Amino acid sequence: MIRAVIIDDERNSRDIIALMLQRYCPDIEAVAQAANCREGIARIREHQPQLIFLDLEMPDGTGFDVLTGAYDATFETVFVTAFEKRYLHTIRLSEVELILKPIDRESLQHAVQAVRQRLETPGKQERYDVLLHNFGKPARDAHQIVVPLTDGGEYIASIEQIAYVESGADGTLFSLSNGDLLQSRRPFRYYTELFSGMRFYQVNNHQMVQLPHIRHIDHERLQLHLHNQSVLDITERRKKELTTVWKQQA
Amino acid sequence: MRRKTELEEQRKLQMEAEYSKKFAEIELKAIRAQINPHFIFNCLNSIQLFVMQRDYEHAQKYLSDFSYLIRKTLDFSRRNFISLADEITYLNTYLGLEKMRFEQKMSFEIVTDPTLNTAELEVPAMLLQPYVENAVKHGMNNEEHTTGLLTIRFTMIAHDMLECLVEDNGIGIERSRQLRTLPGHHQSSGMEISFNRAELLNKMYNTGIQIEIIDKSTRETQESGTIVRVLIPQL
Repeated sequence: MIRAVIIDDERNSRDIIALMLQRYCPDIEAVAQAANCREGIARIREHQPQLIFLDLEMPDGTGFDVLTGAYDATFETVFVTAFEKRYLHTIRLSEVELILKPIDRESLQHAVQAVRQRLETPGKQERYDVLLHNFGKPARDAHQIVVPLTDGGEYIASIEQIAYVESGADGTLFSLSNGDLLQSRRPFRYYTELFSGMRFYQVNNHQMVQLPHIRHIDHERLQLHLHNQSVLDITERRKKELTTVWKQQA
Repeated sequence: MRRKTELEEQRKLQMEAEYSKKFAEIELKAIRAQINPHFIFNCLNSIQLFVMQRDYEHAQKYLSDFSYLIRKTLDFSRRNFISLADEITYLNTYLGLEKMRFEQKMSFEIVTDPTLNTAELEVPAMLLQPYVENAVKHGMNNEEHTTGLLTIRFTMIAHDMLECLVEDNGIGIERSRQLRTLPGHHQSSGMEISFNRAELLNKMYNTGIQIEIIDKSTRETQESGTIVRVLIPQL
């Protein structure tokens, strides 16, 4: 049995998580519930759970405050939220599990399965370091990202390091400023969404570049030369817009 | 010659006035009646619980209340003014859904002066909703009370002046402002939107709406909490 604590300021919400766990994840036992951050931290200390289900916005603070107050690298977290756009990005970068309300059975089972695997192979919990690092930084460019690698491992990169990402056969290729390459398990589409609103620009249908990494735009050959020596193609249609946004951020 | 430049000047001024009115209209559209998405998904979540518990009667009731609210929100977002009667039904349904979410943690009351002709009186669509939403939140965030108590009052204070009071028993706006400047706490955008809308409406229609936020602790009472006072002249 995996012992879990449910922290959410709405009773209905706590009840539904407990009920769905009972029905769809019978190996998870909800041992306690809490209605705010302060109680949440107390229940975690008292019950020493292996898993917590954590709401983001509570009357006396956020889910991040609970982790800051009680995180000791012995338990896993699944965030449960209705709509907190500004936090979703931070959580997605860290690869900590997240499910949206109203909760559906598949997402719950999927999140719980990921957590089960992590609990079976204890090791460093870097994703939580990344999460708390990002939470304390308002500037998105100072954020870090957990890249789940195709070989099963994980790599922590700072966003600034990423020169470009490219769609690959079974995931996404990351090219870093020092020329290193990473193979992520996540699809390219996932990253184009994650990086939109940041200093990234999609130059063609399979590559997305981070603007400060561009050294030179070759207008005749329709090519981008990056500081890390990579050369990317750009479509005629996107060249003009890229030139404008590149100049703007420089 | 001189007359011609004068005419041109005049036409230019007229154009500018036209433009600024058009601009205000566009701006007004952008910040019109909205409902917090957080509220929408939490409502659906609560309805889901009733379904899972096989409490079909409650599931059915809240599903239809929720549909009513969404339908009205869509409808009101196309209009600048609605009748007070519509506003009262809307707020009643909205608060009923909030109560479903928070059960015994909140209670509410809408008091309407019986002499009011609610079908005739007009209020800006959903101007009050963000203040009410804030009052729900703050009323429940006071450790001295187990129940957040919310009261909305509609009264005529002069023959052409409607007064709307939204009162909670939370910790008061002053203390919650202090808390909110701490990192991790966000500013209330709904109230800001309402304030800007009132200003724009005043500019466009000369409505003369006034909004005042009173912390109860500044009055000589023992209570804490916030009162939002909105004065809506009836034209």
